[in-house]
Amino acid sequence: MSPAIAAMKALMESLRQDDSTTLQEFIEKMKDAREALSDTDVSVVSVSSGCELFMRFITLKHLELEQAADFASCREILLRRGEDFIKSMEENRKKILRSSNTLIKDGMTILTHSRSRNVLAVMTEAAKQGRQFDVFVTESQPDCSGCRMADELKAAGIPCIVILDSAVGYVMERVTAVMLGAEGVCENGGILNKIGSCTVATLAHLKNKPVYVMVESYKFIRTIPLNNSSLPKKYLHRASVLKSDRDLKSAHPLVDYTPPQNLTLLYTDLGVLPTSAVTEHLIKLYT
Amino acid sequence: DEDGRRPHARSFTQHKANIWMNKEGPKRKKNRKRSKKRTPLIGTCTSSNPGEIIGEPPQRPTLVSSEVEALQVESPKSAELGNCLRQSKVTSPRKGPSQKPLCNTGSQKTEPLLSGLHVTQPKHTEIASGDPSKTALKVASSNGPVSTLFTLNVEQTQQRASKIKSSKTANTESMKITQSKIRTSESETQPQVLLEGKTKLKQVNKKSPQKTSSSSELNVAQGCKLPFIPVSELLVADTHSSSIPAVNVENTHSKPNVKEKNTSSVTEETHMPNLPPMQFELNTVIMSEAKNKLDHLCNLLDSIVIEHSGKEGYSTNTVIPVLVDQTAKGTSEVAVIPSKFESLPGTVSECQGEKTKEDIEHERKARKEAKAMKKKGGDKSKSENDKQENFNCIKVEKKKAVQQGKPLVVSAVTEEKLPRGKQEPSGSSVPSQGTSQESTTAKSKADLKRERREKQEAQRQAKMIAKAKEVEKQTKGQEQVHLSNDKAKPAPKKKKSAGEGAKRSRDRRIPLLGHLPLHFSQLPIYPVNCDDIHPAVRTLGLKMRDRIVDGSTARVVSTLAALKRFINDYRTPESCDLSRDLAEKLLPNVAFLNACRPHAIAMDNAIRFLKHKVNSIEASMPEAQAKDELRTAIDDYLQENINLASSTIASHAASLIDDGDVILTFGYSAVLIEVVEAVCKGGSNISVVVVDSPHPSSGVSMVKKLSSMSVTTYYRLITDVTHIMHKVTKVVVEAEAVMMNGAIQGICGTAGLALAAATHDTPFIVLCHTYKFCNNDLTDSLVINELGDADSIVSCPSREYFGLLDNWRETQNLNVVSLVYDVTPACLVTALVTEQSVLPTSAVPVIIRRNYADILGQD
Repeated sequence: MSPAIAAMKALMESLRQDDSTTLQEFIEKMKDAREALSDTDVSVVSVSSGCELFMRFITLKHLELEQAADFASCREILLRRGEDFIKSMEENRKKILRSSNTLIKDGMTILTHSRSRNVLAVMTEAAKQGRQFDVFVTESQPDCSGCRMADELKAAGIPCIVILDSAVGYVMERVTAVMLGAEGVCENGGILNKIGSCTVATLAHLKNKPVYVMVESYKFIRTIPLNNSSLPKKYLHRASVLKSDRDLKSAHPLVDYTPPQNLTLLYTDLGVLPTSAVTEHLIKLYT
Repeated sequence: DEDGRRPHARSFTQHKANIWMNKEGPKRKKNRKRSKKRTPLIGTCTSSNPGEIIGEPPQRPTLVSSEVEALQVESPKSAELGNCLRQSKVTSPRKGPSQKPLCNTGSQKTEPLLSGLHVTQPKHTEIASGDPSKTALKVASSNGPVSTLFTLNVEQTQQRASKIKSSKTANTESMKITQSKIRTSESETQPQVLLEGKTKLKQVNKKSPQKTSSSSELNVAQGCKLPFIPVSELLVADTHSSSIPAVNVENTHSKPNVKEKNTSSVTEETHMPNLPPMQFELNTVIMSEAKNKLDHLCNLLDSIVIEHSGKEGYSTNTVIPVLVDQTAKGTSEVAVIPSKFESLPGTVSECQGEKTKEDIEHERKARKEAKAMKKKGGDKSKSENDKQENFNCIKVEKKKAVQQGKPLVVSAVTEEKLPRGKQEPSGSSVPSQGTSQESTTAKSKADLKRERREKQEAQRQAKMIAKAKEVEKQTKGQEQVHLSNDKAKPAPKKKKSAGEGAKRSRDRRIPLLGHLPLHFSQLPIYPVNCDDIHPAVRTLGLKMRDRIVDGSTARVVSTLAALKRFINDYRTPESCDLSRDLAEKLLPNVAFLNACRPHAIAMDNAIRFLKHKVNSIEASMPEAQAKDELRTAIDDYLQENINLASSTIASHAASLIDDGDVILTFGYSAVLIEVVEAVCKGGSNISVVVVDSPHPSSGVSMVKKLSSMSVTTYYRLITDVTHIMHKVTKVVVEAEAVMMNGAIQGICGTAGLALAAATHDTPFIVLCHTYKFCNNDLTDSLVINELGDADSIVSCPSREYFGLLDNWRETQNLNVVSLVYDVTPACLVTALVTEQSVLPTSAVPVIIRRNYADILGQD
């Protein structure tokens, strides 16, 4: 389960146990809950964006809420909506699978970076359909999530090779496509993902290899990083690192920003989008 | 002052400017709505004339052509109706010109010309029968156009007056001559011959010009002159006896204008409205005398107009707007008389002869007296005498004088106005003579000559006065005299060729950029005294032309402020929709601004917003409330889209800038100063590099402001931007406009800066208000652009190369170009900071669709 979905469920739980008497009080409490969730050692990007979207969705039509007789009925509405939302979020992966149905073809060699549930699902689905393809997986230091990915791929019967992070340039010429997940998609279509994604995407761009990103739409966030150095600290480091008084300059960042120029397509539950379409969905969502 | 010193050259260049505007200014868009309303007939001629839509200059040409047509109409008609219908025959030429504007403005596309005439008729009679003095007075006060006519160039009216010696046919003819004369003297390529040849004037018509020009022979045309003059005299006398002042006449004259306007929703035209009344009157005259012939006449006219519609297009292009003004004035003045005639109960032609003779005698004596007084006492006393002598005329003149004076006071900026305004007394007296002369001239050659002499004397006197006052005036007076003398002899050839040369050098079009209006650094662009341009707008226009108001934001703010004042002073004419009338009255103002300097895209958006607001006002809404609504709408627009938006943009942009950043910016940007303020307030320490283009170096004021904020500032030219780019962490510029595809229109040099930033992988941040988003796609910077002052580029301050290229216009194959804007492709822009949020350029179409759907969808 992705951390964002988990966070939404946690919010849902706190909503159920909520004992506030007014809508305003409730919203305040939920804000506290979201901050608490962002404080945990998970990928903050998707958690914060997922939580924000969740809150936005359940309180979307204030009119209906205002028409409710009392807060009890209000909470009914909120609960119902929250459950609907989480259910639809869980369906997202299926939608992505549907949209990326024909992405992987026989004989392809795919390079992927780190571990992404979406990428894994797409590859597994393709393998189930009997497609023959090879996968390179980067080791993806510092947490070696690439090794976990390789294990899961092998379990699905997909031939895969773990390569060093520094070997991306070496294998790139043999690769037909690069597939990435994302922790967040910025407004301009660039992605925030596990550190090293930028390297992979940039090298792929250099060698004219397509870079596909499998991502759910709740990971869209309303920011535009000018470059990697302008990324907020809370995205780069885990909460525990930020809290400890370590020198952040020597601390390894966990995510990097890949500019949209290096990406080819985004496979989302909203369909296959070019990077420039992200902003439209965000504007629709938040205004 | 500079303008004053060389009035001759100025008026010269002014005409040029008008021609320019006529040719190219208003090409865009504005045609659409209006074209629907035109008759097919007129539609053809208007479409051939691209400049037709905006303001006066474009439409004047049609006037001229219509006049020509009218003269043609005369021939078939005379053949048909015979001598007994002299009077209607004489009037028919006037009917022609008046009919034209009507068609232009009014009737539906499918509606035949004929029906248009019928529709207007009842209105006129109604007005005539009603109490004209009361209702019409109101109208006159609220209605600009009429006064506009009279405030037209004094010099020209003088000329005209001196030339009008004979009957009204001669009148129109002489006007034509003046036109052609002036045209030739100004080295216009359109000689009199061309007009004649084109229109195949009848013999009568051909002879009348000769007569007027030579002034000694009044042979053939006299026959047709005579019958009409008595009528006019009678009318004057009648108005006297019935103690209805001349104002009445003007009022009746102006009233139908307004009515006509209402029905046909003409507002672009200032001069046009003056013409319709003539038509009505003429129509009614015809109706009374030869009702059954009217339809036939109309048909004839119709067919002839259609025949010559192709030629109109040609003539319209070459005609000088100001001159046509003159014609408009002449025709309208002529129209006064028939209107009087109409207001009279029933009595028509036959018995008028004796009365008029008496009257003429009377008037002549009075005029002699006046002239004698004039010689003694100068202008003021003269005008007073005139008043005593001819109450009617003087009243009209006074009105003129008042209206001339008013704009002068209000718009102090219009330098070119000053000389004219000062000469006003002498000038205003002359037309009155002219109108009265119209009647007397028919009497004898001797009279004519003498009057002419008197008139010249008056002119000379005016000149003397001017001399005493100021040198500039003197030169102008000379010019007047010179021009009036010109009518006897053909225009000097030398002048013509020289003028042509000058024109060509001015005309100099740059390859690829021929579609852009040329930059005028010193020239007065518009005819000065027309009332439909609000003084505030006029002031602003000149300020924008002189780059006193510069930068898209400043221009939008001041434009809206000026238009707000215009709305403040606006009064809805009777029986007129505020929304329709105001929208149309808005057009010449907007056109004027565009003529002074092509609109910025942001201005276009703001004006479109205002028009949208005006159009959406319901007809039932009271005027005060509507105006209030508009004013608050403008205020809100400024507040939301500019003031609040600027601060929001500043805070958004400040969030993108970190401590220790080195910001590079280009030229002056008020928003960027706010951004730097916000960053400094946030405790960050940044330094700013201001790069600047040498023409104009707006960055200097930026540097001044920044250094006063104790921000570390570097100032350098854009030419060495690559030297410093590697030290810059962020490039922040302000956009003039943002296109649908995310491309940025900025001050020339922005695109180069963006390329340099991309080369050094420096984020390129663009600040832009969303109201500057535009629904155009620009792929290059040539389609929508503006030519700057090319002379400023070639003026080199260094001694070694000083003045080397000063006469670049004469150099073949050399094109000096100074473009104002360039376009930065969207891919070079990292982020677009708007008041909504920090957006990628791909969000631009979304924003446009969401925010401007109602307005942008309009056109």
